[in-house]
Amino acid sequence: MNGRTKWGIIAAGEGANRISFQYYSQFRNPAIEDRVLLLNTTTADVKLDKTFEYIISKDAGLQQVYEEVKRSRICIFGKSPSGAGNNWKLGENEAREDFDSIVKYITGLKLAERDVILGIATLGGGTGNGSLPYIIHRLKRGEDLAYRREISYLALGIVPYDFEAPQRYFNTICGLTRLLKYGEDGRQNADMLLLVDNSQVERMLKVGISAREERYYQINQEIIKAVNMLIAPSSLGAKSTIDVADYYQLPSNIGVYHFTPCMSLGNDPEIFEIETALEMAASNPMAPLDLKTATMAYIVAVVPQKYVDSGKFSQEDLEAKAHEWAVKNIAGEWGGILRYASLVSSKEQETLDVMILLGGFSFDKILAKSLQKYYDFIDILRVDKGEVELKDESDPRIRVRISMKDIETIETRLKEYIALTQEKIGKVQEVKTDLLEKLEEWGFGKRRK
Amino acid sequence: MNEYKLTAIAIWIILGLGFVFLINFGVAQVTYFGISIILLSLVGSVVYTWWKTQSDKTVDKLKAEILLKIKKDYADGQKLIAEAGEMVNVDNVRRDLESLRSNLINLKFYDADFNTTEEAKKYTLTVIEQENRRVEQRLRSLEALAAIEVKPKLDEYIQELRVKLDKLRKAGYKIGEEVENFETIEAQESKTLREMLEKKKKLTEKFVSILNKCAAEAGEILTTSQRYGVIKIVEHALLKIKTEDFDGCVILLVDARSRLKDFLKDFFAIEKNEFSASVEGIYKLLDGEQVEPEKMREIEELRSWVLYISDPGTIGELQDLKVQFKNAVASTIAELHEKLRSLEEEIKAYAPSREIWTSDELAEPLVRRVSAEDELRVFTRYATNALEHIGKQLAKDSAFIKILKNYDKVEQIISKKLEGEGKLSATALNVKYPEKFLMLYSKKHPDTEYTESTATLRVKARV
Repeated sequence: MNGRTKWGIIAAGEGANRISFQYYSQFRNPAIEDRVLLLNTTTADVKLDKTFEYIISKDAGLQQVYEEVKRSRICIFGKSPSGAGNNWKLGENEAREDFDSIVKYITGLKLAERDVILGIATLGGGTGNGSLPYIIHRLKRGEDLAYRREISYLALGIVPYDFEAPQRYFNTICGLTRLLKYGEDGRQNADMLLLVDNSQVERMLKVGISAREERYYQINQEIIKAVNMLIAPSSLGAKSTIDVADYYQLPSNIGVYHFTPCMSLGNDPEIFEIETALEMAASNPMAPLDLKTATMAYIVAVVPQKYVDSGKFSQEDLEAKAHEWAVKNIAGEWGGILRYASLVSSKEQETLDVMILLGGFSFDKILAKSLQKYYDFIDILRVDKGEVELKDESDPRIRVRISMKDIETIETRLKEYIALTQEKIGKVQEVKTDLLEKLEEWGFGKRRK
Repeated sequence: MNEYKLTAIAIWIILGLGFVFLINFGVAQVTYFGISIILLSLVGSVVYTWWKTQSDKTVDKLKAEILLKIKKDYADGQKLIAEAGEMVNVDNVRRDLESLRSNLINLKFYDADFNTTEEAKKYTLTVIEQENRRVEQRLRSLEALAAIEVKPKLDEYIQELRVKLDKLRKAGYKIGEEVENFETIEAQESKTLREMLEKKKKLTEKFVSILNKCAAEAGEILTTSQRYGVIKIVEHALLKIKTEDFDGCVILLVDARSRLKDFLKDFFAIEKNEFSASVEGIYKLLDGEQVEPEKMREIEELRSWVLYISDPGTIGELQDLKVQFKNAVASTIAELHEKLRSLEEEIKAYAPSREIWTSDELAEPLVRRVSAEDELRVFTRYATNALEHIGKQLAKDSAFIKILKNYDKVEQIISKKLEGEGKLSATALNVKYPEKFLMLYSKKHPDTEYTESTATLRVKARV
């Protein structure tokens, strides 16, 4: 990469492990190379064969890759005999207890200042959902990692399928909130939170009727492509660079830093214009959202080099089209408050790929399905001395207590975040600045309205 | 001298030992000792005498060998100087060489016929060896003297050959590669007389082979030109060629080439113009996107050759190029036709409405008519027809298959856009071939209709 930003992936929990193994075995982004770390709790080692079975079945050569991953890319943490058992608190406790060994593995990724850690976790589970927010918090605030403050911490949270049980949604709300805010003071945790909804991607890919494993495979493939698209504007082919800090610095300042990718890939550049590709991408968000509430948009178009050389696609044209599209489709009369567009030319690629990374949108559509199940789950919990005990019915050894106060804190933090998001959306949608008044203030004299 | 001393010492030691034995062991033991010593002395004497004879023989042999070498060296030097004498006057060197010979005869190393004499054996080996070295040195200096004389003459000879080669090349003979080989030999270092004479020999051989090649080439052009008429004068001139006479041979070859060129000039111009027109016409019809790169390169190379050749003497090559060109174009047409057929099969898999697309019927008979066996004019006409048609059809079908492959994605956009106003114009659909997409959509969605004149798709009013 020669001085360019290096990315490392930390995949916590089974679902994220699957995505990362899929990346490791089939893709090699020059920014990530082999900097992939799979985290899991103690039971995982016996379940690993099963976890990756389907991916390996696609190509006999992957068995060797799997052996390599097993040997050097997996960190098993915690002392629980049966893993986290879909219990995020247990996942968090295990990570806390074994944090030293986790740090050793992360140090092994050989990242330096200004590099990026992308943490991936499925929000419905226990291991990843429980451990990842804690790990990010510790790495960011603690003294465990050199250059910790210069490193960017991005998180990718995967929302469970619509059909999944209320307990998964309890985990989702807790995990989502803890990735956004964490610690005693409830400060920002991940620098940027990317949200992907399994059911939404499944609908988008039209793979609902495929076998379960194939569905996972296709969805994960799409997630990997989104990560690649996210990295593309910092590659050599970018006509206008979007550095990782550009993604999160201003959103962090605003206090709203959740995003979701909308993608349209594999388009024939002979047929599709940028406008159409943008429209198609916008109709494919990876999490449910109302476009008109999105206040930020990063637009990335990867096109074959020959079309850039011939002038069919250009950075200027992309910016103009992106502006036109944003004004028409996202919040506010200026097309959001923050917008970047980057055209990336690629010698290897034959298709026109577009990703719109939308941010600051209203959480209502994502939470619409989560909240009902969340409350249904909370309502049945038995509260004893201000605490609830969560246990795995199939394995009585897995049990942990959570204080109701902690749950209330989580709820409060999420509510605050949502309120701030809504406030920003409202402000962007109704720009009320009286320019004549402002001009007068700037000393341009009294003007007639 | 040493032999005597050693013998005396040995006798004194033996006598001493005999006296000691006599004192200690008595007469009987000394007798045995004495007899043993006598027997050993006898055996030793025999062995020594034999060894001594052999040693003398070896010295004689060496003397003979050196004398033979002197004779051989002299003969070699004499031969080289004789060869040099063919190029330049080296009489003074010859005289010195003769005096060297006389001196050796006077020394009685050799007789008048320069054969080794018996008297030579009387000289010690050292004297003969010293004479050998002296002869070697003398021969070397005589060769160097001759080389000084030969050098400018050799340069002059090479220059003359180069002038001749230049004349042949200018006359149009294709001897570029051979001249390069000639120059490689010329560039080789030659400092000694032997090297100079060797270089001259090699260059002469190379030049003769070039003359033979030119004669063969002229013969080939003559054979080709016989299609257009008879030029007896060249035929006779070629029969007269003798490669031993460089000057005469070059004059004949240059003259023959020039006559052939004049004779073929008009025929060549007609054929080249016709060929160029055919190549340019067909080349214009080849689409780099459709024709395989390898084939395109082959035809481009042929095209460059046709533009490049201007010597009427290459009329035979022009004929060969025509054949190559016709074969290349015919196979290109066959490949394009095959491509069109497979593209049609691909389109058929989508089962498009006959109102939008029908398979091509014309290409097959057009391709069948193209034959590389035909005259160039006839071939060009048929090939042009086939290429024009297949090219257009391929472009049309390539675009159509893209439309079909991308239809699913575009269909979603159309549906979304129709939702609003219930109509959509081609200009509002930001894709290539919007009319075709709208038309396809109307065929798949009976509740919509496409109006070609306004290029607009609208949802039919519900009754």
